[in-house]
Amino acid sequence: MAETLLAILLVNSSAKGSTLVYHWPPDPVVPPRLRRALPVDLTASQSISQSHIQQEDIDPSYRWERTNSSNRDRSLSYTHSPSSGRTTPAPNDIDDVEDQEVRNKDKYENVFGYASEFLASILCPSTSMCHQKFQLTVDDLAFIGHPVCADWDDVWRFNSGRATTSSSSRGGNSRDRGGGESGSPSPANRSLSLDKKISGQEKSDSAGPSTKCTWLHTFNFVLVLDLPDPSSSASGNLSKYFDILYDQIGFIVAAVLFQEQVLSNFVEQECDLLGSLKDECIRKSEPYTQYFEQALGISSVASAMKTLYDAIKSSSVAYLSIHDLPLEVQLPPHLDDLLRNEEDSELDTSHFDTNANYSEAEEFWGTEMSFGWQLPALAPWKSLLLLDEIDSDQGQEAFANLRSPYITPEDRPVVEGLMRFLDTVNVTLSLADLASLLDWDLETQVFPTVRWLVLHRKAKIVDIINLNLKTVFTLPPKFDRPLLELAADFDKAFLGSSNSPSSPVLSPHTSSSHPSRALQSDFPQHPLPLPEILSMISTSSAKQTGGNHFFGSVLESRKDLIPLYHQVVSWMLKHDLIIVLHLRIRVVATPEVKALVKAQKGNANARKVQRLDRKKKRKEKTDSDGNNERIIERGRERKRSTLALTTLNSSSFTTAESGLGLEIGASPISTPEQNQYDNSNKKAFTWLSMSPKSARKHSQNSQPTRAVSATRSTSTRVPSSDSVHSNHSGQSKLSELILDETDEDEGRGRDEGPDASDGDGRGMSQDIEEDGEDDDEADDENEEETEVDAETDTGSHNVDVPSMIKDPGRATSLQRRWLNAMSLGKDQILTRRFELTNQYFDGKTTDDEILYRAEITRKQLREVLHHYEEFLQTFLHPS
Amino acid sequence: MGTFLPRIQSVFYAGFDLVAGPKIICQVPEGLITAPLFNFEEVSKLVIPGPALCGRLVICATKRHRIMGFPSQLRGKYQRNFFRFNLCFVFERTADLSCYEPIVRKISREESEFLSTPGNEVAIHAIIEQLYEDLNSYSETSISIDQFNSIELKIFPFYPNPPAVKDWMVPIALINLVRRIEDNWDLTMSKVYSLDAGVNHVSRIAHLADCDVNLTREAISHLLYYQVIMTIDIFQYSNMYTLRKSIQWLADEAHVKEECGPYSTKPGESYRFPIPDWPKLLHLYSRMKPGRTVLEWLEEYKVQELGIDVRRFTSFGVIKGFLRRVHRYPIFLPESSKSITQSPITPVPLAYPTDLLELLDGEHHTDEVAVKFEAGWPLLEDWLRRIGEDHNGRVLVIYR
Repeated sequence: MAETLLAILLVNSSAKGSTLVYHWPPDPVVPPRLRRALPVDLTASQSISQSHIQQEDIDPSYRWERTNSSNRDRSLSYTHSPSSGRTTPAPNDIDDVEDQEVRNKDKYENVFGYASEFLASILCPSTSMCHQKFQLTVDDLAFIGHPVCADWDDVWRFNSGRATTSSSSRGGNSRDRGGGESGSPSPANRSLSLDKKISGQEKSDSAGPSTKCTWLHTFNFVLVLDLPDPSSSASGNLSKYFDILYDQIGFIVAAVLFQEQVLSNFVEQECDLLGSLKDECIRKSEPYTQYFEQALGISSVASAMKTLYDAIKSSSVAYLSIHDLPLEVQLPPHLDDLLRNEEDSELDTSHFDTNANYSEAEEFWGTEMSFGWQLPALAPWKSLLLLDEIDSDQGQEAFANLRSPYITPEDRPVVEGLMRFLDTVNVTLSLADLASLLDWDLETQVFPTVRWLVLHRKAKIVDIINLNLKTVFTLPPKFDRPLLELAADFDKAFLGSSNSPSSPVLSPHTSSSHPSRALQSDFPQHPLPLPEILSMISTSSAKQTGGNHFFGSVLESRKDLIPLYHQVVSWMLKHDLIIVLHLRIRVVATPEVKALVKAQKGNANARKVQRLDRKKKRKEKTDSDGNNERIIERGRERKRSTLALTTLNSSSFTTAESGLGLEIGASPISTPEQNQYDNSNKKAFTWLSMSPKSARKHSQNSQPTRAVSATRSTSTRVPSSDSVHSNHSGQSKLSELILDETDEDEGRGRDEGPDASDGDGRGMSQDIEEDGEDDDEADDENEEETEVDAETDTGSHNVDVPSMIKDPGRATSLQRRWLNAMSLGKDQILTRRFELTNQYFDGKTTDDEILYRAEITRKQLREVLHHYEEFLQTFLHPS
Repeated sequence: MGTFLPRIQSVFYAGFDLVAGPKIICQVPEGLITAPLFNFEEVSKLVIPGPALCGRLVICATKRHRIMGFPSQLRGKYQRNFFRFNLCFVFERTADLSCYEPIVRKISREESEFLSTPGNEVAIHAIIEQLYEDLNSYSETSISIDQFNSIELKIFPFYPNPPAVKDWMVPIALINLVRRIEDNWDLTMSKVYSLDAGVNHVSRIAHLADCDVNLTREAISHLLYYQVIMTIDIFQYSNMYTLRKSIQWLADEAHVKEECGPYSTKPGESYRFPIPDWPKLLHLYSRMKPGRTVLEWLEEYKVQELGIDVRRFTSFGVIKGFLRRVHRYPIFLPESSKSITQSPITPVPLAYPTDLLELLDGEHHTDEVAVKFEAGWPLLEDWLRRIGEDHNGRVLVIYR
């Protein structure tokens, strides 16, 4: 919704002059403004800088009288200026003669305190200003539109000579220069897209559609806004706000009107129609409201303006019909947040409200839905909640035709697919599950459908809700509406009218008929009162016993209530009353682990032997990598690719877990270079044993559809030492750990800075020593050390202090050895699982995402968390 | 300061010529308007408009630029009985002009004295040139026109309005205000600023400083506007906190993990307690949850033994933005099953204020209630229980 929208105008101009053809609402009301801040409430409506004046000259009238049609006195426009304390020109400065027209009280002639003819004339600019964005601000009113005009010969046609003549007359360089000046094309330079499309035809056919009209020269479809207080929003938001209104409403409607005018002289006919009706009404001295009412009946433009206005004000999708052309326009639901102070709107629930996230939202949702929608990421582990409207009467419009028997045979499969989608979708299913159930492709079929549903406000993205409601919720800090109202709605939805005969509005003073807790057991079909549910949810996350999830805290583990409370949860999700809490995990290297790793170094001799051994075994291993491809594919889908890359040595896991039982010794350091040495003639093996990142690059070349993630993986760093994930016996682990000793020294030397000349020197010398035998690896390590902004916190080299492993997926070699040391003495399967999942323990990846990415069950994750408890920290917070 | 202000592309002065109609009389830089920037013809009827637009701030847009002007009309002994003029500033289309609006408004008035006299063009040109240069370079200017008139202008950066200050908010200074104080500061401000230490809430500050609470609120909101303080919540051991989503990236930020320990440990006691490491501190933060009071948390994790100043510890999280206070919103829920007999409220030692009941609609949190009735949470808790009993219902508390 655009709360600032005051009115929608249609103005035109001809040789006879300019006219305000129609506007809606008939009598636009503008909110009052203050001339200066009120003394008691400084924050009322004006900025503080302006309120300084108030202390100097105290004027009794704080309210700024808008120059409305009835009481226009232009002297006010001089005096109202808040920035000057100067005395104002005397009222007799007004030109009485010219002002007469303005003072006319006739509402046929006046709008916003201006004579409608005058307003129309300034809103219909000269020809050279047509076919571009129009924006005019006068005091507190902003006008936005897209004026279009006929050609010099009064013929309306698509892309007449206008585009070329205007740009040449205005200096063809103005356009070129503009392109060069600013990287992004300004919306002002956009010409009607229809224009372009048909202009191509026109050139080829040399006879494009055109209409010779009798009088209409220019028309402009204008949105009038109450200029928002610039001090209430962050800098730059205002122009973005206007741009969105223009892009999503003004331009689209203007384009349709223009097309209809060109094709069938539609706008001129409408103007004639409305004009004669107006004359008729004036002649009969009917009240002007009559005119507006009657106009709705005879003109589709007029009724479309009304529909549009109402839809914008009610924040819904506008279904317009102009000249029998169906048209659907809407504004982003959170558009008005642009006008508010960031602190007010910054809630834990909002996702893409900052510019930083803008591009990410665009990637998920496309440009149209990226700004002002505050949509969560569209990810396979999210779920979709259908909003009520599909089943209700309101929502019929979008879906009614799906059920109609008049569907063309070509559309039939699409419609059936959509119906199947709607029948299958469920909050307990992730989108990935949905895709596999429907046998649809996630990216090309499921996501577009989801986008379509969300765009039409038929569904919203939510987190998966556990089938048994074992989901942990929390409450948002603010509710959209007062709680008592919500509670009343809730009662209506779940208790029905029979059970709450008294006024549904719950007031502390009137005792209304809420079923008590005692009654609940008698009538289990009724849920608890909403405040009680909320109260229980709100303390649940701190519960130690009985479970912190919904099932434990609200249902008190009663299974028979689950179906009922699924509805309750859906209802609360629809009303944004609950937020799913997500688990995030971080890994901490404890002093014990660090000491252990430290103790293990120094035994460098075993290394060479081990390496030779490993190389041998790698050759064996390549035969066994049957099905690791699947995991790599999954990994590829990961958006934040950098995390996923280095440690996912899928080969060892898959072989082990798929029960092939092949012992793979120390898993290989699978840099592509080495693989080429080893398997230069076996292409498939090369691919399989590549590090996941290289594998991704490789496959991206062959599968351009996966390009979403490709953009992110431009880093050239070659991951190394995936090997550290040895999941073998303690012995091989030990030698594995010893392997990377030099790197640790190097890392330590760097961390310790200039003081650590000792370690540095040692590291250097060993580096050189090693150069001969293992170039690639050493280089890679170097690269990595510099890139992974080698742990700057002091804890990393101080053995006595625990340190957080910031990003286990890109762990330095030292960190990787810590990670391995954590698994010492643990069960082998657990160890593998830990290695599989610890890359996601970065405190950012949610539990749902981990389960999806690592393809494990919640139980398995819980086991890992339990057994590695001492090294892991868990965080529960909304995403 | 001038760096983030949009640059003025051009300044021009236009008037209504008796023969030619609207025309540019002089412009800086010279000759820019007609060719490279935009066509004056396109906007002339907005630059020198009819009387209905005179005396209003008019901003119009061309393809690449925005023109901000304040067309004026003076009546008097002119040839056509009026004199219309406008001094316009030209900006990039996308520039944020809010900070220039007062300037443009002001400028059109200042000059009304001598413009109509023919032959002054040279002088006007000089003034406009100085305007253009000074405002772009120094963001302020001072031009004396004649003996009596001068133009004094300064562009102020435009800050958004601060959120409303409530009595239960606790201001905390982000800079050392004591060093900034000057003698000519507002009286309330000079009493109030030293209390912005993150301990006292607004109404208590007013009480301590012996100031009117409205004035105190204004003073605080003034400091908020300049972003030298921020507000946090009242610290009590009965408070609850929870993590915000920003913890996921803030936990890795050096400015968070390095400052947290030194800030939140008790000063002067570092010899007794070593500063806890960040993983430990982070763990403590992660254990703060709705439904668990600070006191419970404190005891469960033996925070006292670490030498942590809990107030500073929590306010650190709030200031950095990864922790937020969970407020208690009491709501009265009438019990329908019981008999509807309104038992008369029997005055008891724990008599609660009668208007408390009105606030129990789930929209007012207990800080607000506590400040209003000057009652701490333990007392309030008793009151709430009693209200429930007296009115045939229960008072539920929602934590959010």
